[in-house]
Amino acid sequence: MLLKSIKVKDFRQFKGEQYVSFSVDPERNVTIIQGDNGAGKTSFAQAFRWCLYGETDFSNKTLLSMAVSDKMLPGDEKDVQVEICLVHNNIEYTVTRRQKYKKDNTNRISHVGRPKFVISYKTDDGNTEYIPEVETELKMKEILPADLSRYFFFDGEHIDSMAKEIKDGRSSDFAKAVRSLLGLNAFIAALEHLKGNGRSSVIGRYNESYNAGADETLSQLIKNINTNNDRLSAIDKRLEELEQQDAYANDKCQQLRIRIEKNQDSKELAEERNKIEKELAGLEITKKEKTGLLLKNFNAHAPRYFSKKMMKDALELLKTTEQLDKGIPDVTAKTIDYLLARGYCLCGHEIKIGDDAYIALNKLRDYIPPKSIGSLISDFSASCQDKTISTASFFDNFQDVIKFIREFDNNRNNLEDKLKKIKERLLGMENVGSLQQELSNFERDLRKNSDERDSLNQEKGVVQSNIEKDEEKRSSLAIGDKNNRKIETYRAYAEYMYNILKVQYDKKEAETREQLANAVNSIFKSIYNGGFSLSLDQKYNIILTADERIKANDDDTIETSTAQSISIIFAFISGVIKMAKENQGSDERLAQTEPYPLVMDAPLSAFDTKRIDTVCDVLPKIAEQVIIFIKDTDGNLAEENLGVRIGKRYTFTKKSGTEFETNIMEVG
Amino acid sequence: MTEEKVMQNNTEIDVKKAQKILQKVIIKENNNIKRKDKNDGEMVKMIQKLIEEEVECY
Repeated sequence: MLLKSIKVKDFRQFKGEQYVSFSVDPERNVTIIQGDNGAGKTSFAQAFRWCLYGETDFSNKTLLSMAVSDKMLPGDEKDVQVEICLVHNNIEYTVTRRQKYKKDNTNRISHVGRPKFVISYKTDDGNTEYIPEVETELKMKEILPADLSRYFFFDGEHIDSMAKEIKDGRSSDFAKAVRSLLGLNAFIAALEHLKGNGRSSVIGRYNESYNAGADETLSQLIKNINTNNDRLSAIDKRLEELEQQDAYANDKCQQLRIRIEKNQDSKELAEERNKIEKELAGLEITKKEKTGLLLKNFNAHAPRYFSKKMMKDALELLKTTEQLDKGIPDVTAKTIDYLLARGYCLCGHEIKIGDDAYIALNKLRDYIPPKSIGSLISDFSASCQDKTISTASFFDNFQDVIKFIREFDNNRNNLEDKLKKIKERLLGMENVGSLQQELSNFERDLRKNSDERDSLNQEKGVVQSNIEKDEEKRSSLAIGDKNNRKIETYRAYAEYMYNILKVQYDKKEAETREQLANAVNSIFKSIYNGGFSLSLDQKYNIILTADERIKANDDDTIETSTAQSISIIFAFISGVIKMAKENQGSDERLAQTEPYPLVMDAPLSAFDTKRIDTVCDVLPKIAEQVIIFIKDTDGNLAEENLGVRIGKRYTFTKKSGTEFETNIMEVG
Repeated sequence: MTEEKVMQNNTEIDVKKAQKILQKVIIKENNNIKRKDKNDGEMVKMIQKLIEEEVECY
């Protein structure tokens, strides 16, 4: 498939009908489309996908030009249309997709019905014929299947996923798609039709066509062969499923191992974190205990401790207590009571209630036991001594606990700082324990699958051997019946054809893969030239290997960069295109291929100047047609490096004063 | 040089005939990949027809 032209009408920024004709000159096979950022290069690149497959990456799915929709009145209808003219298998096709839009009474623009998809082609006599509407999608699939198109209509946004897919190739469709591009699909389909699909293949149907008649042995053999063939198909299907599961599990294991290694520090950090948290908790408990003890001690001894000075002063003062003591030695309150009751004093003076003697005696009661101040002072002095002794260690104990509390605060602050730092480091890390668990689960699945595969392969061998034995017996029994003899012969031819085709296919596939690997590696080296090599495994996965010099310096670690990823994609696609181009002229009718264009949105941005030189040199030589969208700033680079290969040049210019209108102009 | 006759499942196979059928099968498969005008069942029947037309039976 080669692109001749594209015509857009009211598509996004492109108001009215605008047209780009692509260079198909083999010597000047590059078309450059240049424009400022926002001029609509990416939108224009999307016009290809929309026209051919009805898909776009726009978040706003309305394709109608805003410059047009703004001027529409309620009820007005307008069409968006993209028309691509292309050549495929030497036939010129015109592919058109059209979508109607309407403005409603609330000035809202919405599409009317489904897009109309039309493919027409020019017959040998110059007339135009149309592909029936129901067959247009199939025809497009034949020209270039949508799932392959993104490799040819290449945009920078998908570099990472594409590079990963090319390197990992996990999608089962991937190898199939590559084989299809390399022209091996016919082999695969023929092998499948001859022997695959169990009873619905050629051999399967012949197996079911034997006529047993009244022969019970033959009848049983036919039944056994069919049952065993069904089982064989089921085993093969399951083995294929296991292979896919293994590919997925292996991929996961690989990713998990990388994540575990990357987060290995987190394990030690997590242990350190746990240790510190434990230490902090221990400190908190000790602090609580010490504080409790401190308060208890304080409550018990602080008043005594703080009254020490007062007690000292009081005791000093009480040294003079003898002067204060007005009591009479050995006279007690009982003596006074006795004298008052007797009614006269020791001296014989009469005592009457309320007289001076009575009052004087009662007053004396305050200075004699039990209310003797002397004895109170004596008690107080003793008590003061006790209290002073009991608080002797209070201050030291108090100081010790306070010291601990102060140290605790320092320790806690240090530990908390440490913990904070560890937590900050752990924040961006994954839990190695749960990653390890996940890895173990996948490894267990792989072991389980391996056991199941071994057992299935063993069973497969037994079933195949039974089929062979039964077929041998069936062959000898079939001779007796003319119809069965025919079937036996047809089936033998089908088997023989399958076997030789399988050998041819394996050989052809291996040769093609090797050629592709060489082409891809040679292109990669010419583009990237960074001390790496590419090779292909049996599933067309790309293997990136560091050359010896890099290995010695880089410890076997292969870092990938955007430039490297983009180089891998270019090398791979260019390799496929190169082989398709080379096979095109081949007389061999077994492998049939088509040339394909490379349509690239901003491919140069990811490269440095040196690599732009090589990319610009290599791509036009390999691809039959190259269409490049570049920003203004890359224009000189492209001109400088692609100059002699540029067949057509266009510029996208934003219409002055408007953000949503772009004009396309051919230059030179 | 390829042998002209070989045995497959106790049946004599004419190698040239088998190759001829195979060549036709691949061309038909190639065309069908492009045009998608036959489904798998129809392709299987078509291959059977090619074999049966080419192989003489007694």
